Amino acid sequence: MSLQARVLARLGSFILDASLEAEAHETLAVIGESGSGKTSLLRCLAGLLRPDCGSITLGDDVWYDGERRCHVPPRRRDVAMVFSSYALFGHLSVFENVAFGLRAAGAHRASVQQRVMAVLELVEASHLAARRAATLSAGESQRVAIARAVAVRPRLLLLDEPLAALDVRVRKTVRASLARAIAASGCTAILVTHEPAEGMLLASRLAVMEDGRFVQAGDLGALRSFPATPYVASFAGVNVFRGAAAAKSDGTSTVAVGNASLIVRGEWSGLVTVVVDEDAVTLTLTQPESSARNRLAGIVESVAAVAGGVAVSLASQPPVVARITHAAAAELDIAAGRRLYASFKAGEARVF
Amino acid sequence: MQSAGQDTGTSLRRSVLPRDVAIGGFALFAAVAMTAFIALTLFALLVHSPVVKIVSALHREVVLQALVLSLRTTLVCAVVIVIVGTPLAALLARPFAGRAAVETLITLPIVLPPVVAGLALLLAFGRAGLLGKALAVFGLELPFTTAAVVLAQIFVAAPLYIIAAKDAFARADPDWTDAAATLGASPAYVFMRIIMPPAFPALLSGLALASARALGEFGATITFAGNLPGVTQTMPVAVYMAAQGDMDSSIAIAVVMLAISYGALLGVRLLGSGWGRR
Repeated sequence: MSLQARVLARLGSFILDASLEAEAHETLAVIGESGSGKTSLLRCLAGLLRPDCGSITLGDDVWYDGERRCHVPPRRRDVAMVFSSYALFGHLSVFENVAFGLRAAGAHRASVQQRVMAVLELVEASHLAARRAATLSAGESQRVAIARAVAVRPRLLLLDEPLAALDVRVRKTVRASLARAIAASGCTAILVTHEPAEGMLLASRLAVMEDGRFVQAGDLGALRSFPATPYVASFAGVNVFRGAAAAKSDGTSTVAVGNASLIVRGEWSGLVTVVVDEDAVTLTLTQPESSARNRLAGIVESVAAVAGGVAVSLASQPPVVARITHAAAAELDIAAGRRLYASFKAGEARVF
Repeated sequence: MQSAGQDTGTSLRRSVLPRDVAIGGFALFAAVAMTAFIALTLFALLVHSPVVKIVSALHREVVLQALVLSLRTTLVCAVVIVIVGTPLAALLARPFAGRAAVETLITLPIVLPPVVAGLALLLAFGRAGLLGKALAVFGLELPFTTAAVVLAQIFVAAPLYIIAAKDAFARADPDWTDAAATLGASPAYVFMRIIMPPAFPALLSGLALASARALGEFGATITFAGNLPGVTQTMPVAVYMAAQGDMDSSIAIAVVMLAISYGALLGVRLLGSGWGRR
């Protein structure tokens, strides 16, 4: 285990009581609604907030030990943090922002120059180097903030809602930059987000936080199979499709997924991810007569009991899971091997 | 129904209420009256002293001495205020137990009558004073020296700078300081590169105000430092002395002082706004 943390912190009437483990080079998403304590947990890991007890270790380094009253300040931890507010130093140039951590550590001029340009390249912001940070757009700001964080080669990268303040269009490019930066730096990354889909896109493992405690952790499949709480069930029951999008003239776009073509709202282009809730998918015995524009056909592969009904996996192209009530399942006489039609509306598909 | 509602909305927005006229009119009147009050009062000095009189006054040794002494002491005072006041302001910008008490204490000289400040300085640093006795052992005597002039200036002017600087430092974005800390910067490095630069225009205008206050210092100076030409007779003291007999040169010195203050304050203001726009 690379990162091992157990923190107990009393913040007013709120109690944060969380244990966390992450492998080296792993990206873990901490998912929770606002006020669930995930940002406080991140601040404990960074050293910006001192827990009341517990311990935090990264590899062999002890960063916090409540019993031994050991608390390593943020500047002595191999950590970097990305804030949802970007927190770029507005009076400095983009170059100086990214160089900040290196200069603070007393790095040599030449190596600073080389490292800064390398990480700016990574987030496709080399052309911004001379700009004053205060003049950047939101998307540019966060890309530079990501570059600034990975520039110091942290062993632990903390991402506090890095995409929350960006509008949907900009998110895609920033998310791509973030994924590249995480992969290139090879560090352990903890991504905090209230948007489960963001976590699924960037992390291999999800940990769900509610009221200051972790209620469940695992990959999407595990959460989907055995959701521990209604909140987990509400977001884990999703279909995820990836494909190349092309905008049409009527305000919708087609997304090529394998041989199939999905229709989504909005004008999109390039590689996108489409997320569709399992309970937004309708199953019918014959070609659906509804206005739903996305239709897939296939035989039933498996049926699993879930809260409030069953989840039906259809071996369509691409495969899709539909969550339906027991009554609907009985009506369709669902059994493995039966051929069914799945459909969902373009408006039910969320694009990332 | 909907269109009727919209019509009402439009007409409400267009109509000018008597209340708005009254508020706007009063604001304009107040602004003009206040500016005129200050401008006319200062203009009275100018009307009274033709350029010839000012030039001839400047040629008198007493006046020239006072001018040079005032500028010298104010400069030293400003340097000391920046060196000592900046760290104090930085500490006051962060929370600690008893901060309100310390801050109030530092603000007191602003509201104290300057003559009282001079008396207090005398009781503290005078020959028989609290610290004066100890200083006398080392052969140091402050009262009625140029150092006393500077001390009096610092006492009354420093709070103006310290409060301005403290407010500017306290405005630093906590996300910035958090980000800087996680990037490995020491508190001193964070202060110099992250907190200080955005606060600079505010520091500059605080310093300008403090320097102008120091330049105009009279009550504490005459009480604590006295009235020795060339040693402790600053311009405000010279104005007061001249006013006893030679009204014309008194006014001439005052006009010169006014010009220096106005130029300094305006210069700093322009410099500060230029910095902000960079």
